[in-house]
Amino acid sequence: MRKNVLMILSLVLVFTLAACGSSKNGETASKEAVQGSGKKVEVTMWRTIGSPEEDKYFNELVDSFNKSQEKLVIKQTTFPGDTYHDQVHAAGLSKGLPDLLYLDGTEMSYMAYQGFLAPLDTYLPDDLKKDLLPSLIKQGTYSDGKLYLLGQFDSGLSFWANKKMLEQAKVRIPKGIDDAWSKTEFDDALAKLKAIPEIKFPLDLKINYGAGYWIYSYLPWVAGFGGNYMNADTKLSEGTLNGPQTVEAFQYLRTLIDKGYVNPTQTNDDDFFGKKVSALSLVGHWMEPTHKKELGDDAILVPFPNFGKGVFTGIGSLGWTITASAKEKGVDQQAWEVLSHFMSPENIKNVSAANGAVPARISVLNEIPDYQEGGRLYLYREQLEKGNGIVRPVTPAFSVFQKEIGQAAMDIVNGADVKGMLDKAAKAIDQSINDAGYNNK
Amino acid sequence: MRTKTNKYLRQEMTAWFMSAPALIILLLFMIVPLLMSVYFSFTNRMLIMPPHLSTKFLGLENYRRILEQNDFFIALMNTLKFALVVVPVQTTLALLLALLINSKLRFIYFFRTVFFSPVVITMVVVSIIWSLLLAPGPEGFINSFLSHITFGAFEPKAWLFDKHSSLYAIMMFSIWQGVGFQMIIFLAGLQYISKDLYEASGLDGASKIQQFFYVTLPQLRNTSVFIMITTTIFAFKLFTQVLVLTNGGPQDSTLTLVYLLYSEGFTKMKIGYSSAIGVLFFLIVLLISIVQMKLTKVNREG
Repeated sequence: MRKNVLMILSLVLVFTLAACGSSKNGETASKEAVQGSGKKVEVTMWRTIGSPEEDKYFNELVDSFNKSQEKLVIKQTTFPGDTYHDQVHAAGLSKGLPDLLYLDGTEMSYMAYQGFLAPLDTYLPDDLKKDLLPSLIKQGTYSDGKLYLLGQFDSGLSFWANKKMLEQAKVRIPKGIDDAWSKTEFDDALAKLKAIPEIKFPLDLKINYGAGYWIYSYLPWVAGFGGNYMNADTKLSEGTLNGPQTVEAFQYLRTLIDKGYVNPTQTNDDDFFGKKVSALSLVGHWMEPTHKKELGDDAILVPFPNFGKGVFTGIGSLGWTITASAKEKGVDQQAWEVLSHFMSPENIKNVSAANGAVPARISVLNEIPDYQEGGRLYLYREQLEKGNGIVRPVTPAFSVFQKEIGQAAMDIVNGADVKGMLDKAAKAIDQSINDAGYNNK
Repeated sequence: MRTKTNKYLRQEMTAWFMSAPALIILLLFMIVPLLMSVYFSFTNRMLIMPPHLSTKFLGLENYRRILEQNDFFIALMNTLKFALVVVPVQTTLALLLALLINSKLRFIYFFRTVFFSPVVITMVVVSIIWSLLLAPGPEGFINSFLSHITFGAFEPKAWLFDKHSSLYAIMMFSIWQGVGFQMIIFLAGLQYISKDLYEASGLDGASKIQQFFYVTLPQLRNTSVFIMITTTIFAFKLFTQVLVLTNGGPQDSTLTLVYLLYSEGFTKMKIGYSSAIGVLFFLIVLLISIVQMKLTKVNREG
């Protein structure tokens, strides 16, 4: 009896091994056939899986491209989001990167620094470049001045506001960047909103998103106070992240919490659109479908206040890169051909329809009613087009910035000493940068 | 003579051959990484080496930095605090539960299953469920429950969001999750105790309480020692709960040694530095194990 079981087990094992072996062989064989016959060149592509709609869009895009093509074939591999960038790093190290690589804009710096990416400037035609939102060039350019990342869309970030509540509190509703609230006006608005009994916390800062969100969400406010996270010249954080303006910005965050405008222990996502205990929500384009569904026309976009140095917004989303290994293999031109197909007006329109992000091309924006002056989402376009977008630190040490700033912000929300926390974060960040020698290049 | 050595040699060869799989795995996955981390702890090694950096010998620089920065001590203190509360409380609770279910009541298997079931659930899932139960504010389940049973005397806590309560909240559900396992081991220990001892002591006129202190507890000594040691090691490994829920916050109140090691090594990619933490961690655990072993040896002799 036991013998039988053992035999069956070993048979299963042998078969599995055989199956693995043969499928691998089959793969390489077909690859050779494809390349050997000189008919179709294979472009390998990796991407992370976003929302189901976005995933569907990309699958259809790849399928239709492959069917329409005589010369090229895309071979895509998809990865779940959580560990995607770890896998990309590991693949870079073991020289296993694909030709066309989907990356978070903030990851580009690290990959470019490591020499894993090929600059896109040589491929990018002028007419396409002129048609792009300026924020995409800003996010896609590494500190060596070359463009490595090309996004099909950008993120939109400002307040989502409950129009009914603002009207009830008799707060002026700004139309665009130029008539954004001043700091005093904003403080006044929060006080008026707080006075309404149903509004428990006028401002929803999405603390439930966790530490990783702050580097993106709070940067526009920090910039509004005249601060930043990283010194653009030294590429270090000392004196900037813990400089007087940034400290003032985070001090202001403390004030908002102390006055009871923000829930420091927020765990749920629906304070703004579900429970309706918040009138303003600091959140991006991805919540647009939900807000539209739950609040209808009451959900409107309102620019961030002008804290003294202007109105700013966050930028950056996922985008495409061509790897250095594609260039070595000599398929970079083909990879660009695929990428330029992705950047076609029609595809940009479709991807934005699928994920709700701001389309990358101005000509596409011109066709969508929501993005015309007076339209529901015009503010997103106005901010990005007029260059009010602030890029997150362009440095290979981005992940350290994100971790340390997020932790400091969370601790500040919890009542820790503002200057002390930012000093600690700045020290840790700079130490990591110096240890790794990122700035010695 | 010669044949004898040959035979001995052959036997030795067979022995090595038989133990080879285990030895190779131990060597590859335990001993080599241990030696590597000792070596890396003296270098500037990073998880992925930047192209402009080569692995350099730094001497004791990483250790100097650990002593200079507060993080390690905060993490050590939090870990010790966790162990000092969890080990006695969890062991006592496990024993009480084991005594409860070591009876011949009807449906006792049902209760055994219920008490044991949290052990089967992954820590990640347990953490997420408890973070929902521990929701801050008066609407939070635990808060409203405690406030109900104390007739409103209990002030709602922010639990994981408050530096004074976060570690205790984690202790609470860690004990809930782990206690079933120790309970089963205690149960096995209880059932191993000979019925004769209880009968004899009963005839001598010992009460139930006396039986517990003079029969049950001494008979459970070996089981208790085993449970104390394993629980201590589990307590020192505190990580999943922190990673899933607090990331060491608020204000480092749940920063533990293993979490610090992970975040330095894998988030900041500083393998050299985190190896140094690992080496110190290893030495601390070694020390505690030696002390525990010494103590239990004394017990056995006495």
